Amino acid sequence: MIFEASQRTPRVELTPVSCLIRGECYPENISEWSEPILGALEECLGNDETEFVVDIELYYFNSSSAKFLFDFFEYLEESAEGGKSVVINWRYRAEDETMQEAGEDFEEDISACSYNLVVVEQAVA
Amino acid sequence: MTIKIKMLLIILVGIGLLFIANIYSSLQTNTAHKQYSSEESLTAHSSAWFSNMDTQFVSNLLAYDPADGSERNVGFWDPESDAFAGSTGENPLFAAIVDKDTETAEGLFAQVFSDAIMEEQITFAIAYDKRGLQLYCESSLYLVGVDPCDESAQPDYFLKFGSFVSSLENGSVRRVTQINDLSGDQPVSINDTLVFPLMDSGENLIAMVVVGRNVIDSLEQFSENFEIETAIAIGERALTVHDYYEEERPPELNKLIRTGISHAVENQTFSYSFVAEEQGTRISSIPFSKEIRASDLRILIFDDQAELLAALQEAETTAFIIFATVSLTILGLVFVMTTSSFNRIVDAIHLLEKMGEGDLSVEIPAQRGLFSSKNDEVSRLQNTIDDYRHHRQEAEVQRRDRAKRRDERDGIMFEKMAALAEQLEGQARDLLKQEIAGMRDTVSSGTDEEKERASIEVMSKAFSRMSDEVTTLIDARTHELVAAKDEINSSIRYAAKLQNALLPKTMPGDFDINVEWRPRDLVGGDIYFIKDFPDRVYIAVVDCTGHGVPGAFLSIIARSHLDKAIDANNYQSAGAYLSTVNELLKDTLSRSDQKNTSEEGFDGGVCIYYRKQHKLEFAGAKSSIFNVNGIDATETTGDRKSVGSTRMASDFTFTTHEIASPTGAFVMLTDGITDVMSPEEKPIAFGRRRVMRILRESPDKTPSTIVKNIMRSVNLYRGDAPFRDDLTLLAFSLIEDDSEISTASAVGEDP
Repeated sequence: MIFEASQRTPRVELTPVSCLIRGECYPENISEWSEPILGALEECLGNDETEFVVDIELYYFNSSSAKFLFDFFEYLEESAEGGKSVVINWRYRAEDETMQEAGEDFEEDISACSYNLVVVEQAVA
Repeated sequence: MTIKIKMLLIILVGIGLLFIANIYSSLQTNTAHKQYSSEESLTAHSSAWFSNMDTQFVSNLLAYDPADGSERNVGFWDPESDAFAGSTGENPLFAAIVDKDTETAEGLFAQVFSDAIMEEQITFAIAYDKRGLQLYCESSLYLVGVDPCDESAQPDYFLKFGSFVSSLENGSVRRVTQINDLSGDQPVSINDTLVFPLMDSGENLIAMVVVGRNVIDSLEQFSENFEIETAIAIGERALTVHDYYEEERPPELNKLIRTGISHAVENQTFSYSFVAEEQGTRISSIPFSKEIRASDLRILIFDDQAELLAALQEAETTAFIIFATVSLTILGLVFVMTTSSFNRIVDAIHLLEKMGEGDLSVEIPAQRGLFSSKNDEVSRLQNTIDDYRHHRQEAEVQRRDRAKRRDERDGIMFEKMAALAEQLEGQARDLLKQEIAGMRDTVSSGTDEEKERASIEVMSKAFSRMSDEVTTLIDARTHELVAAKDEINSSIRYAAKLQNALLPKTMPGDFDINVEWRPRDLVGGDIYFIKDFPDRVYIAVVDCTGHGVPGAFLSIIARSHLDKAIDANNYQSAGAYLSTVNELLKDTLSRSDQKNTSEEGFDGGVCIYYRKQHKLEFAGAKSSIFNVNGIDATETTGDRKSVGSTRMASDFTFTTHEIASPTGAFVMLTDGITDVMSPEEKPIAFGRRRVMRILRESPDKTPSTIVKNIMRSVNLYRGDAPFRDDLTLLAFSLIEDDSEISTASAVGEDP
């Protein structure tokens, strides 16, 4: 399932075993955008696959989007607690301290998932 | 001349030429065939005749030859022996001849020949002495023609007796001997003869013997075998079997003989074969024998070819009839097919011509030509034309339909324009009416195209009138919208004025403060707050969730709680102060909305400066305070929690960061600064590190310079990109003057 990027929202690719979020995120109305994504995520996590890999590469998100990310991670945590092996890769450019810090902030809230801060030179293909 | 006639003529001429060629070739074949059969016939007859003659000669005449004859006969001519008596004494015949004892010689000769003559093995035998005196003559009783022994008989060799005798010098001779009847009563008899000399022991000629056989028998036999009529030609005379039997010659035979002889005379050839068409008979001429010239003596052969010729004629006629029938059939079929095809093409041409005249009602006749199929060229042509006609018909229907609709449309338009004209006054109305009348004329006359053009013209005029109306209407609407927008803008501008009024206007005297406050949309969620008390100063920089009008609303609530949370009578740590604001805000928001799931609240930092203690305390919610002192810049980071958010516990205690002796400049800011993005496809936020660098690198550490430098850097960084959020940047430093501290009083602004 693919949600195309817009000027204010990132591209989201969901498969039964993976999720990729890339771009900037500051929609005018966060819940309008996030609800279908969270719904799709829940669906993806509901299958029998044993692994789920999440790649997040954001360049900017506003404070309302931070709330979305919290909810997003909560779903992943629940799934991980349910026995699924969930890996989250928070990808940021080395020079982007803001995203690095954001990634570090989220890490504090993650316990059940395996959480990696990944420095990238190039975007995920 | 039409193509049809041309084609038929070509076919006709072609067939005629073929016919001529056929006849010519047939004639050639016939001639060749006749030529061949002539030669064939000539060869066959010659060989049969010669073979017959030779066989007869060998078996009947040659037997008497002194050299090659039979053993019995040879003995008779031997001078040394007596074959007559069977003794070895002198030959009595020779003796009798020498002695001129004619009687004895005659008797002895008769002893030799009589039986053979009786048995018709030979026709006659004659003996002469060397002077030519007849010693013996005996002939068959069943003679035809002149009797050789008759006194009137004259054998041809008598005419040249000398050469006849000398011809015998080398022994026996075979010759054809003609015997004429001097009395003319009997026809000449023609005989195959063996002539041999009788030689005495001294090799002297003493007598000559002529043994002959009349060839008429052979000729008869030959005729019967081949089922032909024959005649013997001597020069220009002819003899037939009939002559010998004293019968009348059949007239046809006479005619044939004449034809045959005249052919020889005319062509000076005596060995020939040709078909006399008139009599239906093949006439061949062959030499009588190998030893004689054909011009002197030859046999004419008349072979009845009537049946063969009739068969040939019939075959020729049949072939001709078949050829003619086939040709005529083909011609007929081609004619019918061509005619029918061309008639259909003519039909199609007629239809096209009619269509050209505009008559689409003519149909192609349903009849199909002979041998025509649905797929042949003409049918396809017809079908295509018919399809075209149908298309034209449809197009015509559509055209009429269009014309009808156009008329209707024009009618409506004239009606509307007339109505419009009625609304006008004076000259304008008359002008428009005239215009309408003119247009009516144009639209109702001329070709379809002219009507269409006129109609479009009318339409465009009507539209331009109408568009004038619409433009007027739109102008009115636009005016309304502009008014409404103005109204909204003016209320937002007023709100901005109000929000601005809530910002502190006066600063504590012992502080050098410089602020950049820039809501993205006139109003925003960012505010800053300064409250000055005699012993302390509160400074807060707050970024409420959202921006625009909703952010502004939240900022008013936040500001009111920042105010309410101050406990001016007791010592209040920065952390405790911020915790109280959190508690109050959560209380307010959850009361207003039980199911508050959004992140309403704020990020921001608060500073409390205690003058007496010369101590600065800082607490932050996802915010930092930066300090630059000389070349050294530091960042003090607050808690990573937002004030008022649902994720926050109401009793969360914010950390208090104490700066014991605050020197240099301090900077507080909202994420409107750090989240300024570079204008790339994958942008990077301005970030706090850049803020730190500016602080370090700023040559002048006064708040105003710092604010100016940071804002310049931020503006450079974002390029053409607009601000995404409200931004607030506040820099302050303490003015190191003790006297100021003691005289400070509560300034700032109360809401």
